[in-house]
Amino acid sequence: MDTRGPSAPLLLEASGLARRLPARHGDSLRHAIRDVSLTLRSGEVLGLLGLNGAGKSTTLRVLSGCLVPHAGSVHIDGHDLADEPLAARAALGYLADAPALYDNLRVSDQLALAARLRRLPRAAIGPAVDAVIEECALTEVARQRCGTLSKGFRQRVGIAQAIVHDPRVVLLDEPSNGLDPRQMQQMRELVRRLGERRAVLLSSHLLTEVQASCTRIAVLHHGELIAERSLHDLAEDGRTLAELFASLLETGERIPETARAQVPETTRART
Amino acid sequence: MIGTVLRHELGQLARSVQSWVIAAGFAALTGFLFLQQVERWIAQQDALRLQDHAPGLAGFLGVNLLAPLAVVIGLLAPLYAMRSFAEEFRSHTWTLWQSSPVSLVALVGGKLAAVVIAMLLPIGIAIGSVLTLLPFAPLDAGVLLSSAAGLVLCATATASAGLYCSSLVRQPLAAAAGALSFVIVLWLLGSVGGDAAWGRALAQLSPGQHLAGFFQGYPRSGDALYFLLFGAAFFALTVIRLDALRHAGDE
Repeated sequence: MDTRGPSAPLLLEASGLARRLPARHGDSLRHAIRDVSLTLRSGEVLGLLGLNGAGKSTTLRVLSGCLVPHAGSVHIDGHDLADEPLAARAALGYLADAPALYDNLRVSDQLALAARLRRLPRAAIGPAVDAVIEECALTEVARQRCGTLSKGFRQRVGIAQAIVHDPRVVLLDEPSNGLDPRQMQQMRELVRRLGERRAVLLSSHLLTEVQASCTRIAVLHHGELIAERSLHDLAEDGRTLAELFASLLETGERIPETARAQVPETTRART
Repeated sequence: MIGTVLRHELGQLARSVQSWVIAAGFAALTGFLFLQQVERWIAQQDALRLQDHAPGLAGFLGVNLLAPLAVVIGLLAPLYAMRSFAEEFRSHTWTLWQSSPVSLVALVGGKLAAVVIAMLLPIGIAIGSVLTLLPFAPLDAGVLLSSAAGLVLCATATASAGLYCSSLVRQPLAAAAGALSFVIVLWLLGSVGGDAAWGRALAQLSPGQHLAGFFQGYPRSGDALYFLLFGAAFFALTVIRLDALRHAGDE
């Protein structure tokens, strides 16, 4: 089966997602995200771009099942997140904006816990942990407690935890947060490698990071998806990502209807 | 999956200094009360000899040592449970559970089972203190077994209340304060109404009213049912609360 390109399996479909902000007295109804629809195929790395507060983390929290949307639906590897939450979450790896690590656990124990929670068979846990330690370059800190790690290593352990069960879909919320330039370079290489066999969605407000790691971008602005482009098309247009991003935010350009129509009818918004 | 949660939680409790400090404090209190009650029993030998149905050593210690310790155990369980969810919220590890294919029933069940298993240490200390007299005096195994069952049921029920309080806040100490206040008020309900009809009805809500039979060696199924319903109610409330967090969007 073709694992990359347009004929690659569709692994993530989000349709019409909306999430309202908690009402505060005097406030009118506000949305953290509104009518967000995304698709992601195997072999794709989609960069979710947006300014701070655009709704990137909320979108990822909804896609990961940590937050229930007020409208819309999410399918992960064919499983509806609302109807089959456990099967959908088993196919998913998620790095939250703050990596979910126990400070008193050693790195290898933390990863083994994540593997057990993601239903990996007992015999497969040890080899999976060893493999992910190797893949995320964590060998030198494998016996250290998570609480003693630097910010960069914590991020890498967070990513290792997200992929230890070899999920088909990986969601990374600001994976380069707090990393130094060398670590950022390593992170980009890691994300590119992840995208070779999986569907990866990463959120960032760093254009260079997205340009270096992603095959496609989606731009969120005030909770709405205003554009979706492949970086290949962008290069053919002769525009840089920075120019596109600036013009999108300035003009409030919307995602073309043709692109929205690509979302299968079966996954259209359910309210 | 309950096994995975249970194993992780037991590890966390075992790594916590606070768990061992609480157990050590309980052991010291048990030792003090045990010696006090044994001395009292020896001092009352002449009076006991005159009684037709004088309690044996196990019966005497069941009522005079284990019953007061049940109150302490009922208060210790929320202390063991206070970190269960509050600490996860505070240290941002909650997202690991939320994004994992673990049902809320398995998650709450695993955490409750871990606290109850951890509580077996203080319960073991209490029962073990009585068992140390076995070489010197005959003990009624039935009384000891029913006392142990009463302590486990009481610990399970109040641990469940502790878990619920832990799911409400981000600070473990606030969770413990809430659960302890609740358990103390519930215990006091047994003595506020006196002989009035409403007082007797209210007293039925108190755990103390349902423990006496266990320590006398005559446990009633209704008393066991009270503790099981108590625990189940807070178990359900915890699951509902955690599910609501996915909808509310904050913890």
